[in-house]
Amino acid sequence: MELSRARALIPLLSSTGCSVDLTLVGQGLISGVLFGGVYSLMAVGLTLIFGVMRVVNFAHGDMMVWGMYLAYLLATHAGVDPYAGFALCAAALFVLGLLIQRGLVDRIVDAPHEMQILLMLGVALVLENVALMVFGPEPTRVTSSLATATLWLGPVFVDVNRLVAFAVAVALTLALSTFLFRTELGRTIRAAADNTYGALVIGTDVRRVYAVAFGIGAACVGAAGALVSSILPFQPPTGLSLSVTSFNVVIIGGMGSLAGAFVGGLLVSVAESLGAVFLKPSLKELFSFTLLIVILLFRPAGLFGKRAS
Amino acid sequence: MRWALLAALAVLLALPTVLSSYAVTLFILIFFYGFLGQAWNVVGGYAGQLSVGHAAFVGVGGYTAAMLSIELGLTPWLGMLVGAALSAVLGAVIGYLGFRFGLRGFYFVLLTVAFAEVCRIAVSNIDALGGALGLYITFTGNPRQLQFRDGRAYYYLALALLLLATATAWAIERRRFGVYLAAIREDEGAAEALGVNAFAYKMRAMVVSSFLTGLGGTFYAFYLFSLQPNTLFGIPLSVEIVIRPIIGGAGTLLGPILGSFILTPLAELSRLYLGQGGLHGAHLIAYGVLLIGVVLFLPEGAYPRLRRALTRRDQSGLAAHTSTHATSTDADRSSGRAEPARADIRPRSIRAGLTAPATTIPAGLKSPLTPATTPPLLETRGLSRRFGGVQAVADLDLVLARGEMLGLIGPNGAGKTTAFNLLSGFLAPDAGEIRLDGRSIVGMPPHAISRLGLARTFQIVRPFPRMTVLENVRVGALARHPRAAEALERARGVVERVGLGARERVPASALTLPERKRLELARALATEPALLLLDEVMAGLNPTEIETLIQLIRAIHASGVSILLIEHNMRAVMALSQRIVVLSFGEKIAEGTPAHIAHHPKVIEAYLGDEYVDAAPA
Amino acid sequence: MSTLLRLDGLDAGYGDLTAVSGVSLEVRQGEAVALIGSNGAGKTTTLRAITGLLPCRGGRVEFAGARIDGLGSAQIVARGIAHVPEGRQLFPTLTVRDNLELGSRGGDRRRRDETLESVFTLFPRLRERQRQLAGTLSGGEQQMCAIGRGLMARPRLLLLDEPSLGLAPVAVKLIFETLRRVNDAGTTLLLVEQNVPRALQLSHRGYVLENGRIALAGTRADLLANPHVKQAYLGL
Repeated sequence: MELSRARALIPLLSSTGCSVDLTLVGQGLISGVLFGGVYSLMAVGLTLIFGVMRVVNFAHGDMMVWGMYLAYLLATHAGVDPYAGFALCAAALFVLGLLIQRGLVDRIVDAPHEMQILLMLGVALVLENVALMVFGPEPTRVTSSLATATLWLGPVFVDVNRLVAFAVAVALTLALSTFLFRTELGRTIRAAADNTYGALVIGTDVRRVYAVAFGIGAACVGAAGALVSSILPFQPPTGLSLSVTSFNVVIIGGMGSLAGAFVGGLLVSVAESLGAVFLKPSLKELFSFTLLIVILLFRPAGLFGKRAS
Repeated sequence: MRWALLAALAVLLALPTVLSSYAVTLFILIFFYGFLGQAWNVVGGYAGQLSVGHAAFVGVGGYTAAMLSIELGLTPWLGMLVGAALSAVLGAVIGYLGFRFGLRGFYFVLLTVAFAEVCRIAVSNIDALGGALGLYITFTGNPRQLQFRDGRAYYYLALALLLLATATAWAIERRRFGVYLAAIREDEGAAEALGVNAFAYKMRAMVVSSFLTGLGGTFYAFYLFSLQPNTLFGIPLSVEIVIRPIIGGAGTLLGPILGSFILTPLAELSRLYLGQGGLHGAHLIAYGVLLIGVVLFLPEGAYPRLRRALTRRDQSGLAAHTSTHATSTDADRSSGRAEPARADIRPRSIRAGLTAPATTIPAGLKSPLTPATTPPLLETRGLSRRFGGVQAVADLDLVLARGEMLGLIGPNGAGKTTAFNLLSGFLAPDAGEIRLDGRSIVGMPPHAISRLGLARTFQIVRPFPRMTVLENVRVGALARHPRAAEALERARGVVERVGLGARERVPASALTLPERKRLELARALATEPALLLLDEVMAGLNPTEIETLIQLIRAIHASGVSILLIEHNMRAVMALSQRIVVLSFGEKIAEGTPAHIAHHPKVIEAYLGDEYVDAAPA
Repeated sequence: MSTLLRLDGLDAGYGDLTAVSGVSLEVRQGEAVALIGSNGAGKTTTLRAITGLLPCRGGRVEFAGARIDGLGSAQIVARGIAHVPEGRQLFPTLTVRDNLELGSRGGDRRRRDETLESVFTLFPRLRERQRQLAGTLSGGEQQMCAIGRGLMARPRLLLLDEPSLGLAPVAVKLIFETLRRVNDAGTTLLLVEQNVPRALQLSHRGYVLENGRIALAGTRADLLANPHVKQAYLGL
């Protein structure tokens, strides 16, 4: 009921409703796809953690914000461009993820879902508000050397900043999937995600696998944070909406599916981007939330998922 | 306990006369958040459906009352009810979608978050509702407009709300409604098998909870004189609502209140002292740490722990309340003592056919007047079910006459438990028909089938672990006896009958395996079934226990209950069954008397492999 | 024959429930020993306690002369006990070959490939299906894969939990013939089975577990002749 009411209101609210030209659509598509690379990377991290541990990382967006602030610190204090600093951010977040896993998550892996969710909400609150204490509430943005560069493809311009972020995010996603599908440790991680008990039976050190998986998931989101730190202005509360966006992407793609996270990231980003073009920017999230509700109800396993809820 | 609560209430009523205005404000917040927590507790605690979107109900309630007041001049005293009703409608929509589509755990959390966010974004973009800036209510100080110059009026209003929600929760807790919610939270499938319509009860809990929360929205709006979509619909408010009852103890009556008394002053004081000097967020860090601590060290919340500490100290408790719900109230206890309930379960005179030669199907032997027209109690035709590539049950025809005791055997993996799941509605067949007492039950949910008189046990026993033995059995008894006290009396009779009388106050989690098996049986019996499906009740028992259980099952059968049993223990199945059906790879391979089955070559082959066939005694 | 595995008064359970108590048994080098009992008697619990998947609450477990209770499952597997669990517990979205290779311990690739070759020789079907996802195998093939995965660890002792579960008689026959070959080749077996005639046919000795305790022990001939075993487990 709420939904249909909201939908009915959309035409009234959209002043530019009918006068959208194709250039704008093309523009929306391109910037959506480019930004989607980062969404994908963020969601790949979340889905990896879920796939292996069946724990939903509610602090995912807050970890990403920490990646952004680290990129900011590197850029302002050491003059490191975020497109070089992302590796350091990823490494730092890997360690943070490892610590959170070993210290907290490891103790509730077998607890009921609600308890896991509450614990991760607690972690999210701490991460967000420590950031608030350290960095303050004002929106920040990192300046990159690429920030002003643009390319023109006919009538459509491509933000070089976004292009590079996309390229790096896709490269990292590919690297991660190579790791998972081409190395022994990667195969062990996939095995543990497939059947944890089976992995235990054959003598896998499952706790180590969990720690590595959580670390990698955090590293993904740390890198993703660094990559968008010069595109999006951010502040500590941004983490919450980023978490919610990652949930969107992962549910739409299918919890635990890497391919799903990748495609889902592009889909959500394009939906939001087109939503901003057709409607007004403040309504863009309505698109992805509506998509989320529809997917939850009719295909809760997601586009690529095998497991139903 | 009761006097302590009344005394506490008297103190709270008198308190504003001595409090500073700042302290009054603090208490208003404690009451208000306690109230929201209690409202959430109905669905999030008692029913165990974790909603992290309750802010949506605050928002809808508040905006409705404010708009009605601003645009139409309707007094918020009425607008409050309209707002709460709209919240309840929204709650019903979310609940319907979530419960009907079977979203659990994280998926349900996300659904509630998504709805709250959709509301927030929508309201932020509706100019008529003030858009992102929100609405402001002009202060008139007119009590008719829910505005007071004296802060103490809000104190009493917030206290009244808290009492209203707590009284509602109390009323739910001591009725069938509350017992069923607790059962659903503990094990929804097991509750369904006992006749609990989980969907309907979860819906009712959601509607009650969202209605109450909606009332709170009006208070919030008219206490603060402003409504902003980001505060009223935002995830942070939802988290605030959830966190207090969980820290205090979700699913307990006093947990949300205790949680608010712990957390609200903490939040306010740290906001006051730490919030100065640029230390934004310090109190939220404290929240986070507290939440982590509760999950790791007090997963049940503070109240259950406190209660245990108190009962231990005053020594007067008969037995420590290990269950999270003090569901057996005093009233129940006294009436339950009136008379030991009689042991008979269903005094039906359907004993004819029991002694009939079991080689033929003894259908219709009950009365000579209606030999052919009485349908068998249970009948399946062509029942089939596949899982992926495995045909678990294939084209199964089964007939069970009224009063019969039929054994269903077969090697592990033969499809016996799948057949039970099909019969009891836990699985839908791919094809085929199931008739219970002549009536098709295909497509019926488990609780409806249970109400029609088919009860089942689970092979892997599924007691409600945090309820006592008596409380477990009472869930079953409530199906036929909706009044809690009466059900308790019935339950006590059944508990006696299965020999668990001495253990009735023990939580199910502390039972031994044989006791759990008996409890499983007792719970099913308490639904007063015409047909009882027993899934390997002998498994894991020693020969002596098996012998007593055989006697018990015979007695149940003799009291008029028809029985279909899956059993691996050959001695038990041979001793009990009048007729046996053998499954192998989903198909019925043999049917007949125990003696016939014991020497059936196909049966021996299925169990032992073909080379044993020749060696079998003829 | 030296004792390879010795349980001495083992207690184990789940939550408040004690599933086995005071279980003592021994398995000698090169033997095949059956552990039989009805569903729920505590057979699986015993195996899980041996491999450290479930903590021992009391008693001792000794393997090859050293105490192993209290060690993690990874360490126990490394010492030479492989567990083929009830219900196979394969990795369904990984290939058969991946499943098998994951069973291998230590990083020596050549040794792993040799072992893989011997598993393929034992189960030619697995060689044919090595590129297939384990979840798409038939029940019998899955059981072969699970046994193969256990053998990949080159165990001194192989624990088998209900290898006949849900399999057609033909597949059961094949599995047990292969297990006989595995045992003949020197791997010690401890076998939990509800298919008691099959289990006793393969084993040298057996223990009967009832209600979490050892009720009977003896050689194959003793058990086959025992009236209680005959009546309760052989269905004669």
